[in-house]
Amino acid sequence: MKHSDAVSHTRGESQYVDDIPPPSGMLYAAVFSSPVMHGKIKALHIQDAYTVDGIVTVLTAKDIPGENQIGSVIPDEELLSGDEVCYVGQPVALVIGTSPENAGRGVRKIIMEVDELPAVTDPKEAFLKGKIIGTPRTFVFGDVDTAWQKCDLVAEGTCDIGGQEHVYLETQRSRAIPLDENIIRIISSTQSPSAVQRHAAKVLGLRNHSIEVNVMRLGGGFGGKEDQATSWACMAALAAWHTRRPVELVLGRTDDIKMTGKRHPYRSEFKIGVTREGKILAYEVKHYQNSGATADLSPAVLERTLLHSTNSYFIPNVRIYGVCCRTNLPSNTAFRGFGGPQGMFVIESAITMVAEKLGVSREAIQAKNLLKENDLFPYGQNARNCRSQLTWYKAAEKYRLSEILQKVEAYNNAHFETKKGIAVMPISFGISFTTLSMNQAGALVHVYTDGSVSISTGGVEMGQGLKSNIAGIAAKAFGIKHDRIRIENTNTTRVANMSPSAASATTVLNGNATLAAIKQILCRLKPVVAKELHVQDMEKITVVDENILCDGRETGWTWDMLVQKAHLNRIDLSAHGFFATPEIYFDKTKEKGHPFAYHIFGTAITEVTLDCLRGTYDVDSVRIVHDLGRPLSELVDRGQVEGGLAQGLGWMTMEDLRFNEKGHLLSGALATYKVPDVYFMPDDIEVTFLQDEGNTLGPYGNKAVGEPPLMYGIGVFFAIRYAMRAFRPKKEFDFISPLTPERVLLQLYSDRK
Amino acid sequence: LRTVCFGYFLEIPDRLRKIPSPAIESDVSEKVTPGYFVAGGTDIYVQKGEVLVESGVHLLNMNHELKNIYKKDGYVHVGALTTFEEFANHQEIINGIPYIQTYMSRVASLQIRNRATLGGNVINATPIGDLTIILLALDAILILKNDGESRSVPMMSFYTGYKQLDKIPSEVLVDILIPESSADNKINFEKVSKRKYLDIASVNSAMKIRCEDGVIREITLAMGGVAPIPLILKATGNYLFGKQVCKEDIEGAFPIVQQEISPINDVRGSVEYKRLLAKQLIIAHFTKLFPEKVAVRDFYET
Repeated sequence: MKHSDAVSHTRGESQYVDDIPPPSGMLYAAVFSSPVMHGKIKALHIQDAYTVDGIVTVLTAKDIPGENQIGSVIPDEELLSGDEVCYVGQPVALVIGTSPENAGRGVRKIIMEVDELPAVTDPKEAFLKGKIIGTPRTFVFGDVDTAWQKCDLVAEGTCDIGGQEHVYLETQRSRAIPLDENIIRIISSTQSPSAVQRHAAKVLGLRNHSIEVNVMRLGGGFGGKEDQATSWACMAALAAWHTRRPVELVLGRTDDIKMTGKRHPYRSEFKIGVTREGKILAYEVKHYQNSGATADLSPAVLERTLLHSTNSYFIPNVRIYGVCCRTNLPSNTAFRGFGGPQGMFVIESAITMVAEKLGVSREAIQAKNLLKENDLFPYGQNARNCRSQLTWYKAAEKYRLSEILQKVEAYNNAHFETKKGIAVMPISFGISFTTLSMNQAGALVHVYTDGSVSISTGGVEMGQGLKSNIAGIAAKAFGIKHDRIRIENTNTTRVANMSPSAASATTVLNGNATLAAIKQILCRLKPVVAKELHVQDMEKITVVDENILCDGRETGWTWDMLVQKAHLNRIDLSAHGFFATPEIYFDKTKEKGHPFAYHIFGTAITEVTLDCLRGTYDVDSVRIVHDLGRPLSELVDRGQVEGGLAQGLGWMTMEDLRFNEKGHLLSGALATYKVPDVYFMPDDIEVTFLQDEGNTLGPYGNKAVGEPPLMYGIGVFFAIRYAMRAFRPKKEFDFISPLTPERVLLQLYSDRK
Repeated sequence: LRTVCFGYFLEIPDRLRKIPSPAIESDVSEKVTPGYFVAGGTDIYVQKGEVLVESGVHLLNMNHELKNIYKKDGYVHVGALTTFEEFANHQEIINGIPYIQTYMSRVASLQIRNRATLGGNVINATPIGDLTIILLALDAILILKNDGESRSVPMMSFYTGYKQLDKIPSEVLVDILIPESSADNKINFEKVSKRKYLDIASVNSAMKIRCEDGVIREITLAMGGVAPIPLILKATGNYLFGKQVCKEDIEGAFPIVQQEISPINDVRGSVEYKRLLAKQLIIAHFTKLFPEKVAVRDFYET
């Protein structure tokens, strides 16, 4: 099955927020934001904005009728700053004009006087100054302190991990329309409609039922619109509330990159102990997360870093420490992988370091320590349906790992100015929201009298193919054709209290809720036909290809006939379904529990060629064995694997967030912030899916696929490093990402003048 | 899906033809009020998109006569409005720069190359303009026109400071003259950027060189991203003139290169990186053009 939006996307007909024809009299908002990293606002001169033609009003913190607060985990984030600014790009005032251009001109007239305060951008420095968010977390497993003595080699190192801009194609945007009875309808590009609803209500001093949030589709989210779509929606709502006119707020790319948070950079310090044979006995790591100015989702992101700090390995003695460090940068936020990738990068670095010191291959150490069935993760959950070794050995066999390694060595012996590198990257990624309450979803299913079906869920289509998946699930469950099914946009009046579309869990949660609703409708429909056929046992009735079967035999009844008959008999053809993930729990006082419904496993083999004269590299191939369960739509899932891989490769190599000493992002445009393009992606991407029925939680055996493939991209860092070591065998290289051509070249030649 | 989509795309030219063209003034020689000359617009609309909307704009691309490429009196004349793609696909240019299409693949995207003009690249004056660096190494001469009068300026003296030109605002670049290259000229272009394709260079460089009996008899070295202007490495060229293509003489040029360049720290790279790249790209020029004489191994094997 193809992606449900494929045709309309290709023809440019898909509607996004600002493609909807504007209602008459609509106004446009633009945001004035802090030009400094940190300071007390002395004075805000907004009057000059009114000298621009077409300016209707300028709104500041004091114009907020409700509570000036949009913090989702910790209430530490104002919608518009009143007294203090904590990063460049922090929203301070909102200019409303008759056109986006007018509003933009108005913004440029505003002057803010600030008493500048000292600013911090380095997470460790912030930590040492006591600037932390929440409380530090520590996971303990076994006894690291006594284990060091049993190790033949103990190595210590530091990782500096770069952040990542989301670069969703559609920047942040929202339109708010005032309705009668003091209701405001918000059309938002958000992954979290209910968060927008809650916060807009809070900001305006209204009840949740006075805010309706509608989401059609997103032009990409990647986590950047999980928490951080909220502010722009609230601002549009605030402006609509004041002007009583529709107001649209669209961030241009420059403003979007400047004002929104990114993947968290980390400083991580590790210590690892191994036996002579390469068995890892102990691992200790301290993660200093660069959280930015506010909490946002940082504590939850940090938690997942801790949960994934041992990746796909079993380590008997572990201590993992993590702390959110408050810095004067835009608040960093959710991003595909949600802290997991950073945790994995550090253990992979630690393994690389001991391999280099022991003089053995990285793969030898990795293979020796892979998780086995029932091994414990440091947080107390057993590895079940563990495919760590299975995917590793399947990849090694299918893609002939030992041959590749020999070829790489032979190439490197034969070539001087170019070297090849290789890395194997196993992943183990936990599926579920780590915040327990979020693991729930609702769906509303209507069957119309012509037999067509309308489905609303709490999930948001953001290009990931949710609509295709839900339609596939529903068609299968009803036993009818795909074209009978319409997946509606996402709306808070149809499905309430939604969890964000995130954590790779959108299909499993909303798909199961859809199944629960369909089950109710089928339970009401089947007796209608059973009565007509004088059948007692409802189990005998099935719908296959729109025909009603009894005991597998045709009955002459069709789906259309059944639906019409049921309606005439006054049978309810609508149902609301609900799903909550079973089994999961986590005890934060002990830092133990069963936080994940299951884990996704996989292994990727990455090959690169390094130009040692110029410091540039090509990714030759990435070959993956991925644990997919039973795909609902293999094409859609393949798209997720390849897209995630691209994003992971970019994060590790070229995506380079450079701030100057004044906290301005130098790489704040797509001319300077580079993401992988079609040329950068290897021509040779092979993906093999493990298909089995190992997963009982996903609809029809489906497994989550959104985030895990991103982490295959981590392999490229170690593949490039492999090639660097082939050129300079005796040199020590650092663990700083992204590994840009600049970092490569400087490290290759830093000691040679 | 196939019929739905393909039909849609096939109809695009028809739909475009139906859009009425606005009346556009097209005479370059006409006196212009203050405003912006726009050639392909691929740089200026990125840099000054918001300003241009409210400014006087003089669209140059209606002047088809500024698109010609022809040979005359020992020069290849390239009209200033020649697009990157037209340039790279013209036989006269391919004759002079055999690998131009390989180099061009590293410059912008096909869509931009079909729109961006050589003249626009030269006048934009970015210190890392790829075509600018190539034209500099080819010893190009610029013809500027002002109200019917024209004058010529060697490209190497055209740039006087960061985005400062030997040109008054009303002058328009109309023609670029490239001296006809002799058969034994060798040309190479190097570019290093964070992303290999569709990216702006950290440092780029072009070299034109002619040897007789193993001795360098003619050399022009241009380098971008290492100074406020697209730079000709004059002293380095002077030093290499008359030298052999050998490891020792090339290494002798390294300190001179470092003296000639003055890179700054910016988002395209640190000073240290750009200085290292300057050296690496000199090695790259020689090892690529004279593989029988020098190899990378000679410079770095320990």
